Amino acid sequence: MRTMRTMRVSEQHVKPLKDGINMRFDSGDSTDAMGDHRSIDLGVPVDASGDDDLAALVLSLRSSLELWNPASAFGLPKSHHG
Amino acid sequence: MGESIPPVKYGIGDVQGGGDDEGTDSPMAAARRIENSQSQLGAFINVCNEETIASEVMPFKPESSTLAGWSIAVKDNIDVGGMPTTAGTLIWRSHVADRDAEAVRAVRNAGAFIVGKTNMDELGWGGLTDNPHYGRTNNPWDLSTFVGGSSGGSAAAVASRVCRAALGTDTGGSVRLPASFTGIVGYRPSWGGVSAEGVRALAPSMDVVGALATSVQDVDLIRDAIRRRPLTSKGVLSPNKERANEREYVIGFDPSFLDFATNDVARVTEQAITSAANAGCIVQEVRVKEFSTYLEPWMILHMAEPAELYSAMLQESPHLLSADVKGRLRAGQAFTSGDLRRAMLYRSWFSARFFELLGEVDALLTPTVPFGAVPHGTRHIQIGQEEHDIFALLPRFTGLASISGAPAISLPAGLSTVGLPIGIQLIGKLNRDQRLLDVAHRIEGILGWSIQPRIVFGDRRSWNDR
Repeated sequence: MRTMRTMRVSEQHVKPLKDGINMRFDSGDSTDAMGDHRSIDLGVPVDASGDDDLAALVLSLRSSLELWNPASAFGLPKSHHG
Repeated sequence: MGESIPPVKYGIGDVQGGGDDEGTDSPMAAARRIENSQSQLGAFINVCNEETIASEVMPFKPESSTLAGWSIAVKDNIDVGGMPTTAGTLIWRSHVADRDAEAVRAVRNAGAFIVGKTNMDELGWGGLTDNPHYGRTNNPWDLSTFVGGSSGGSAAAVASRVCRAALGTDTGGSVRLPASFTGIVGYRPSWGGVSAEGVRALAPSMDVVGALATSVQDVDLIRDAIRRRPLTSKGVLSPNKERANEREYVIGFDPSFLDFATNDVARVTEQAITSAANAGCIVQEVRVKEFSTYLEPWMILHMAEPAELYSAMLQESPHLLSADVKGRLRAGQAFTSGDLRRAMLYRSWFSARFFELLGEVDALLTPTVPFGAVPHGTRHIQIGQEEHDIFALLPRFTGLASISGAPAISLPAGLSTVGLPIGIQLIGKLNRDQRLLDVAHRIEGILGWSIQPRIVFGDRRSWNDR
C-alpha cells in the first residue's frame, strides 16, 4: 500500500501553482492507482426494501468481499504442507 | 412536515425577552429561536420543558468555564435527563432518560445549556434526516434541499444559528455529512475517544459521539469537554496560538479521489489543496489503493451490527418500525458468521495499512461527500458519465475513518455553482485528535470561510461577545 511520493504540479487534479511555494512537488510516475477500481454501484439500490432487492444486496456485498483473500492479505504461505 | 409527529413544545410558547440582540445567549432566547425555526427547518424532535429551562438558567457557570453560556442541541439518540430519547423511532417516543449521557453531562459541567433534541434518521441509520415519524429536516441554505444525516437536525440548528453548537453521533459519517451539506464544521473523534454511555448504539464498533459547530475553535472546546481524559492533558487551541516553532503540516492527498466527485466538489477540493500549498503546507500525494475495496466490508459491518443489536425489536415490534429500517435489519440478519469474520479481518487489514500510509502525513485530505446538497427525493447522482445510487455515494469518503476508527473532521471549503456549501474532510491518525484539530485550524484559517446560510435565526457574533 505504501506508495508515498510527492505530488507533481500540472497533474490534472492540481491547478497551476505559483513558483517558489513551499510545496515539494517533483517527479513521479503517472500511474493510475484507481485503474483497477470497481464500480461503486452495487447493482442494486442500497436503500432497497423489497425482499428480492435485499437478497440481491446481501449477495452483492458478500461476493465483493469474497474477492478479497485474507490469507494472502496477511501474508500466509501458500503451502499448507510441512 | 406532513403527518409527522410535531415536537412537543414543553412550555416555550410564552418565552419573552433576552437573547442575542442583547449581546448574550440564554436558554429562553434559544427556545425562541427554535420556535421561530421549526416550521421551516424541522430540526428538533423535542425541546426542553419549563422545568429544564428553569434549572438551566440557574447554574450558569463562571465566565472561566470553557462553554459558559453556550446553547447546545443534542441529537435525539443521546440521553438528556428528563427528556425522551427517541433515536428517531416510534418505539422510544416516550422513553424518558433518567439522567444525562456522559457527553451531555460534560458539556453542562463546562457551562453549556441544552436547548433540545434534534431530528435524525430512524435509529441513526441513513443519510438524509428524512424521518418517517418526526418529519424531514430542511437545509437552511435552501429549504428544498436535503440536509444530510443522520445528525441532520443538529447540523441545521447550528448552521442556521439556532444554537451555538450541537452533539451528534457518527457511525459512517453522520456528523461529517450534514456538516458538509450545511457549511459548518463536523468532528468525529477517534473511536473510543468519547464515552458512548447514554447513547443509543447503531453499529457499536464504529459509533462515536461527535460535535458540530461553526468553527474548529468551537469544536475543539467541545472536544476538550467531552473527551476521555488521558493521564496528562493538553490544552485546547487558542485563536492566536503561536506555532512558529512547529514544522509546517504535511497534508496527504490522493488525486484519484476526485474521480468519485462531481465537478463542483472536485473544484473546491482542488482549490483547498492549492490554497494549503500556497500557504506553506506540504502536500504529499498518497495512494489509498484499498479505496476501491473497503466500502463493501464496511457496509456489511454497518448492516450486520444493527441487525444483531435490534433483532428483538424487529421480532417484537415490527409495526413500529419503518419499512426501510425493517428491510435493512432483515438484510443485516442475512449475513452469515463467515461474512462477519471476513469483514472483521478486512477491517484489521485495512486499518493497519491505512495508518501505515498516514504515518508520513499529519492528515489526509479528501472531499467529505462526493456531491453537494441536492433536492429532497434525489436518489441518483451523476458523476462523469455514470449515475450512482446516492446511498452508495454518501459514505464513500467518510467511511474511511469509520472503518479504521480514525478521527476526522469536515470543514466548509467552498460553494457549488448553485451556491450550496461543499466540505472537505481531514482524516488524522488514531488517537491523535489534537494534532488533527491543529491541522484543521490551520486549513480553516487558510480557506477563510465566513459565509452563512440565507436563513439564520441568531447572531453568532454576539455569542462570541458573551
